[in-house]
Amino acid sequence: MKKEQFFCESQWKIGAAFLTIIAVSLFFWGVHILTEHHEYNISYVPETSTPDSAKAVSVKAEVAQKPVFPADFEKTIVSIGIDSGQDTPLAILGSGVLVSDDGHIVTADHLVAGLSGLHVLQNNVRYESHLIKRVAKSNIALLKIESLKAFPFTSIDCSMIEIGTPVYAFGRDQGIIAKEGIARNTGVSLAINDMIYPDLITTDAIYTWAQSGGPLMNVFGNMVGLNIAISGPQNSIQGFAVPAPTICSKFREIVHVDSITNIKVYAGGLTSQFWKNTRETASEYATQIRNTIESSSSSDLMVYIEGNKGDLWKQARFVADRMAEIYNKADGINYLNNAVSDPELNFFGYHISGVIGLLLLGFVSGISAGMVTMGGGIIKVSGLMIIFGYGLIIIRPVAYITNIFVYSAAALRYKKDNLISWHNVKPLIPFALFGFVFGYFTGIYLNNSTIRMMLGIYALLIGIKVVTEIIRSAMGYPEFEGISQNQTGHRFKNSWLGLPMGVMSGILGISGGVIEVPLQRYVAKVPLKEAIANSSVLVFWTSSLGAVISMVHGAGIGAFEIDTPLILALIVIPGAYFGGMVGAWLTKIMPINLLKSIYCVLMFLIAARMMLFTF
Amino acid sequence: MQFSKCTVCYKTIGWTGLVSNIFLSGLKLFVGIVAGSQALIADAMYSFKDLISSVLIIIGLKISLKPVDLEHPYGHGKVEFILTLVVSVVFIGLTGLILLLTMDHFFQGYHKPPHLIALAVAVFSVVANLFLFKYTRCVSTQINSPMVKTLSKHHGADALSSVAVSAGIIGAHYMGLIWMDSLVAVFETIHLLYLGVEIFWESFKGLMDYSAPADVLRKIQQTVLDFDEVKTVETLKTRQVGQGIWIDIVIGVNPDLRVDEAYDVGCQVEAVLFETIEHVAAVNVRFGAHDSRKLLTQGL
Repeated sequence: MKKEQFFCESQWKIGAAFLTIIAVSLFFWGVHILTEHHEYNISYVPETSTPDSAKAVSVKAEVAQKPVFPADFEKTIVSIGIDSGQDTPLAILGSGVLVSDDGHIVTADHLVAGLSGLHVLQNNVRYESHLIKRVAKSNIALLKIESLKAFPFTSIDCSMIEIGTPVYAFGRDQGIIAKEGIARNTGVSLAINDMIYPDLITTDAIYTWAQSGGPLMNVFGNMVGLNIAISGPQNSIQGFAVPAPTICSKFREIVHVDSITNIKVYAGGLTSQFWKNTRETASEYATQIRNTIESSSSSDLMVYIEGNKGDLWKQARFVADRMAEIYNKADGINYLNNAVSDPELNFFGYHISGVIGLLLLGFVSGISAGMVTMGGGIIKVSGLMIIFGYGLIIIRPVAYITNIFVYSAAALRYKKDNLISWHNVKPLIPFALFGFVFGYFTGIYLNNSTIRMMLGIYALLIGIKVVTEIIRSAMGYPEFEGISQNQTGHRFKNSWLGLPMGVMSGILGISGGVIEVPLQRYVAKVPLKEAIANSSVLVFWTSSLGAVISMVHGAGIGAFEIDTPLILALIVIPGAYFGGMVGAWLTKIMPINLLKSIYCVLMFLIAARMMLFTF
Repeated sequence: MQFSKCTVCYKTIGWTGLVSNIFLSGLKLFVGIVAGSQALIADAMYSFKDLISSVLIIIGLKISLKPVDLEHPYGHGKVEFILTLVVSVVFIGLTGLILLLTMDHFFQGYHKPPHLIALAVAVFSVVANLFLFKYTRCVSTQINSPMVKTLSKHHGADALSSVAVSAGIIGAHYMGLIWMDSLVAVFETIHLLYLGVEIFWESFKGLMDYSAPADVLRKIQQTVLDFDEVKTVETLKTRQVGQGIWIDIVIGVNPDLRVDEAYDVGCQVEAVLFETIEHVAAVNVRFGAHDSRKLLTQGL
């Protein structure tokens, strides 16, 4: 019988101290939330035609100012529609707005949810586009035009709009649509069916459906919200807008909204605005500003700089110095730095809830990998897809990078235990890599629903496989044991077995071990432990190649910045490692069939979600 | 008890359970309200239940084992049942109230995913309960107390219930199933109500001088009949007082025995019963002469 360890012999004091510290900090977190708490008015409160007088009075000074929109800003407002054939006009769903020079478009999620074949009409040119990310909870979505052209774009003011600020709601139907209004209220919650959209702006600037998905702008031509037109009482249109801070925090990992800086120069009556990405140097700003100032005769100057954090201060200082140098009349210039403070707790640009979620996802996939040595990948991919709403183009590099770390550790362990038969693995590698490249580029041409269906079927197969394993072990069948290949000779006969795994890994971003292990066991007759060890080596190789290809490809078409998947992977990896340890520990303390049953339920749930429901 | 240290645990287990469960239930209730998680509020009731168990352990190990005195010649065993009864009624009342509130909330249809702190607390509760589970299991195996064993089981079950709460919050927060938190809360309160009724029934049985379980009765009878001098067990009555079993037994001895010999047999029976039957608090043995003809006339 196993000797039970006495509790007092274990290092319980460390654990107890740790738990106490966590408990106390949780308590203080709770107190913090309580003191910072403010109630949303749940459910939709219809706006009365006469606005709350107290709020309406505080119309800000800018109302006296004429709006200044950049020259080609109309080109940043696009129509979004569905392609209904080559020569037929686009069936317009609503509007969108370009927010980056490489063609990222922010629009409302309810316009594009569940649709494929989305087209964008920009400056009378029709482009194909694909969905990069959806945040159904906030009703926003990010599309990208499939083009390498540089587009004009509207910058986002990531600060929260104040009540009473004048706003302009834009949209595009046949032509540009716009209406002036004010931000009536903020922090309004809207309940539609089961969904509650919290923290919205209400405005009277929205009057037609076509404005949905378009930008709500302030007098400087910065986007402060995303229009949502809602049918109110008596068929009237009620105007809501998703506030800019929400858009910034949800999309900043893909579009560099943070680094967009606005510099506005008011030089007696003449106003110029420069809005550029920080990729351009500060000296360019200085030149542009100098040109503006030179073209104006007045000495009444005001430079208005706004942006967010970081090197903005450095740039502001630089611009100020240049201007002082040029004009030597620093007294006449006011520098207003309106650097937006970020109210939310952030970690590498991710909101803390996103980080916790990603860690959890890594943890769960790690547990399953540590427990049944497979299927971690499918949890990771479908989780990133269902829960976080990422597109496969960004999921794949994340999955590959994570796999490199997890499987290299596994492969090293198997190597130490002398379970890898290099003799057999080496011929498999080129086939796996070839299969991978084929799979990856096939995957690009498959549409979203096909891939979801494939993932669903895949999860279903794994689930069925685990069920049969449970039944077999319950019936007392002996484990199938192959012949150790270290002794047998046929080296190249079965090398094609690497191919299917590579293809699946390339298309779906999973590791493919679930396919490879049974193939090796039943076709090549390799014992289970060796099959798992061999597969881990193959996964390491395909994932390494996959990481490189998917990063180069994704960054090349401009779908993401190169650091985005890296940071995502960095968050997922610790969770996956810890999960792997917990999974291995669980297999020791719990009956394996119970664990497998839980696992299979999870797989069937994923399959059902992927195959049956859209978001 | 292999360790001298075990006596330390024996003395402190009740208080440790009390303090940690006050803290856990308080934290869960507080955060459940702040974060708007119904399931976490229900989960706080699980820790509250353990709190009660801990109180009962303190009483069980201290007061009910107080020696008999003039005013309580039969000991203090029933204090435990009276307290349990009162507490279980309060518990059922509270749980019922929470059930009504959660049901109301669930069917109203306006759901809002709870704040993420609720998830942090639920996960913390899983870890803390597993920790307490290991501790109490060690104590229960060493001091062999059924009450501590129950407490240990409860901690294990609480870890599971907190897992359910975590799942509910994850579902509500990350998967768009905002009603899931309330659904978990409804299930948990129904389960709690069941547990509350069970506790109530146990204490009720204790106060009603409920008999010991049938297998214990069989074991007593078997033990007594193993004596050569004992011919029959005429009557056997047991009742549970506190954690102890009181036995009243009438044995029929060989009629050829002298009274003092029969008395010796009675004493031996008493001693053996104390040894072989667990949790025996008192044994009262009377004897009579076994008369087969008399029994026959009575139709036995």
